[in-house]
Amino acid sequence: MHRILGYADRWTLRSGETVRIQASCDNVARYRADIVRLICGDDMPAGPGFKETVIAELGEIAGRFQPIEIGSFGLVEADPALDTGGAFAIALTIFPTMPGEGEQCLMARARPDRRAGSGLFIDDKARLLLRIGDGKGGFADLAADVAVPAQRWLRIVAGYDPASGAAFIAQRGVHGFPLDAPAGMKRARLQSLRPAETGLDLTFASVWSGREAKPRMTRFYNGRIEAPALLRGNLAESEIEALLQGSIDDATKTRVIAAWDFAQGMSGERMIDTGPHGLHGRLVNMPTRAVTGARWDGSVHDWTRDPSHYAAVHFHDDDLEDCGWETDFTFTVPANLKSGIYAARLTGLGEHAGEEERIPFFVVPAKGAARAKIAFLASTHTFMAYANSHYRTDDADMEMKSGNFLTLNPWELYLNEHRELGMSPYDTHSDGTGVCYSSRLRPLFSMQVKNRVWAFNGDTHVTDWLDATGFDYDIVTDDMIHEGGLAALEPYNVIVTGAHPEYWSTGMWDAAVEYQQQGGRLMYLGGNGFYWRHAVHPGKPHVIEVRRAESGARYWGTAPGEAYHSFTGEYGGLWRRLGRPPQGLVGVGTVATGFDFGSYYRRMKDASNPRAAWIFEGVAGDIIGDFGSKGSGAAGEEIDRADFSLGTPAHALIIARSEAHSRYFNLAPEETLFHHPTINGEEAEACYADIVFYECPNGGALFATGSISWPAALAHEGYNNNVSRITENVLRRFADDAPFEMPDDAGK
Amino acid sequence: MYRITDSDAALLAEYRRVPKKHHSLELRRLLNRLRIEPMEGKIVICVHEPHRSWFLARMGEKRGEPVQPLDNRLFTKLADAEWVLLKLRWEKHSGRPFPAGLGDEG
Repeated sequence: MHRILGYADRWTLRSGETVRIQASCDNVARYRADIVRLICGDDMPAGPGFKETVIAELGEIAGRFQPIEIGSFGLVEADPALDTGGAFAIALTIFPTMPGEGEQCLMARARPDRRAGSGLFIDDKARLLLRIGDGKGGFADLAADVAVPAQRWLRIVAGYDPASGAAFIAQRGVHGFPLDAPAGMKRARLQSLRPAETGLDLTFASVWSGREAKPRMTRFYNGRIEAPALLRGNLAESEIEALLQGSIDDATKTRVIAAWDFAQGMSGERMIDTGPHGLHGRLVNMPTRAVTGARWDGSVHDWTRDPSHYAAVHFHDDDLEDCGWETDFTFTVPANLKSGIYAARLTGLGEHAGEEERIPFFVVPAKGAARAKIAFLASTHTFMAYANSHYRTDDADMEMKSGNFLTLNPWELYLNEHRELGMSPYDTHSDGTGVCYSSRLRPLFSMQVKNRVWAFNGDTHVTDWLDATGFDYDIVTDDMIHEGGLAALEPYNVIVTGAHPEYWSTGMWDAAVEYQQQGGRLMYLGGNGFYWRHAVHPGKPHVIEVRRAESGARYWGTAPGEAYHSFTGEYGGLWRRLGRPPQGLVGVGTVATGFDFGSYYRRMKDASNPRAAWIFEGVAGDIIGDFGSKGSGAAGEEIDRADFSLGTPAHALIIARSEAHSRYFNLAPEETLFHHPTINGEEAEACYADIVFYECPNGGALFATGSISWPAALAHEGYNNNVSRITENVLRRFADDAPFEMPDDAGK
Repeated sequence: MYRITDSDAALLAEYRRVPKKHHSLELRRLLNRLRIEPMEGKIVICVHEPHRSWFLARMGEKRGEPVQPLDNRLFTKLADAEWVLLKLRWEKHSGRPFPAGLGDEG
């Protein structure tokens, strides 16, 4: 299983555009490549069944293994100006998070395989280690006497004089705690060696292994590095002392070969050298930026106000931006291809005939082409956020959360063992810090079909239903809305979401507001939507960033002082905490999560209001959705309710409300200021999902179901059920050109 | 943290007999306690063949380590795997033997 994995270079395509498919095969010599239109990805016995149609056969392709280089580092390419030419010193400030967990490189211009060059490391006993090698067999090192502590800022100065062999390592804690990091100064006379560094790159947080193929780097460092500098000459005691105190005197300034300032260029990957030679470098695999540095004292929380408090970069041995695989094949979207969800299907041949991989992409209408009246929103940024999630194998609380013993699926066991595929913003790095960035230039299990019915796969319940009920629709994607704003939405009478449109960038949010203001209609068929703000890299649309500030249902919380996105400088967290609660946009907002059983809705008095009665045409009885392939109820997993105090419009009609949720539903943190025994689904006063309808200006309208499990009930009994009928009634009316009239009492 | 008592043993039969949705508060409290474990070395259920067979396995001592099957038993009903896991967790966390005669262990 998973012997074939791959990814697409882009997810949103128009006719005439080409998608490149990159694949890696684990001992699969040949595979067949097809392009399929995906209708439903859910192959669970209780679901609608897996559905796809082949639209192009691309033939057989030779499989090959393509390796991955995981782990972030800084790279300054070889330059003669880096040559020290004699005595030299290294100065930097560090915050190690996993000292003692194997040897870790802080800063090196070295090839350990050849014992060449020089570098400063943390050894496997957590001691600083200066290494020198002449590349001809001459090798010397100096280890500090005291170990570096974890989670403490330290200033370090280390130096070596090839002429005399004199070497030193000095370290001192920066500030903060009564029992601070131990100070140390170790001096020794080592062998007199000339470090063989000519032609070598300078690296931070990792060092070249000497391997020609990936992974080429080794000795990854976990932790923060700030203000690294390379200096020429033998430093006087007073110079070392000044550097240990975080200052630099004029004499020492003249020694600077290079000094990198990580407070500059915060939103990108450049490492800016403020020294005389402009030896700028780049960060590889996206270590975390906009993190607090040694100067941070709690007086600044916004890095854009004073970047000097954020002059550190946090490196992790499990950061990954881009697998960088070679392209296996391409597919150019033909002019007549209907908008929809497609995938490259890679099927193993020979002894691995059962292996298959599908790599989805979204075909959207060409600019100026005819449009359907309905668009399905593919929540591509949410799919990226779920990426390769490990919380079920890494988080000890998952059994409590689900109310079940942990049952791991084969794909979860695979992901657990294959950490080289990178993580998701639901995970913590190996050092326990939260994952902020997620890239799609790698195989993403959140995009797999025949998999957990969640994220992309869960949303195919909606496309399956659209197909089964015969509605004509186009696809729009988060990428289109983020890039194009209102223009991506305005051709459509109605936008239909999937089960979980959770992540919204500021541009996307603004576009949704404008769309509704001008009369656009929105059907929010999910739960926990419009929840987190995220940011998109300014130059790399394949990477998103999430900061989980203050509150919200989350698996890790943003560290103090780090709530502002590095990509945009925007404050992160819940839209509710940003003064824009989802209740103001879609009538409902997250109230609770629970993963044992779903429940049903009961029709409310507002359902008989003439403004909404048409929604129930053909629906008998008061109980809605007491079925479904997720938890046996249409109201489940993550649920939203109306809250007029948070912006649900005054004229909104609450036409149905769920009830009888279990004890394993618990209010989201933002719904309760403090915890107490009655915040569960059985006992809480307000732990339910609301179905809401209201009219919007200029003929628009809004319909929201407030539950992730709603789409999983659509296919029940051959799509002949009250969830399907209600959804159909609303979509038929929302797609119609006839305007909705705002009620006379709207706004009162 | 809840401390398991002798009287909790009587709840184990309920786990086998009563659908999860209708478990008593006392049983839920016991199950919550039996679920408080670190991931390192935790015994979990793994899917062998989707929707058809399951086995018990022990998580690795470090992230990323493969799970180790506990034995060569394959369960054709998830409920049977859960029942055996309940027995293991009970004995581990209560320090008491699993009561005899509580039903088929699968």
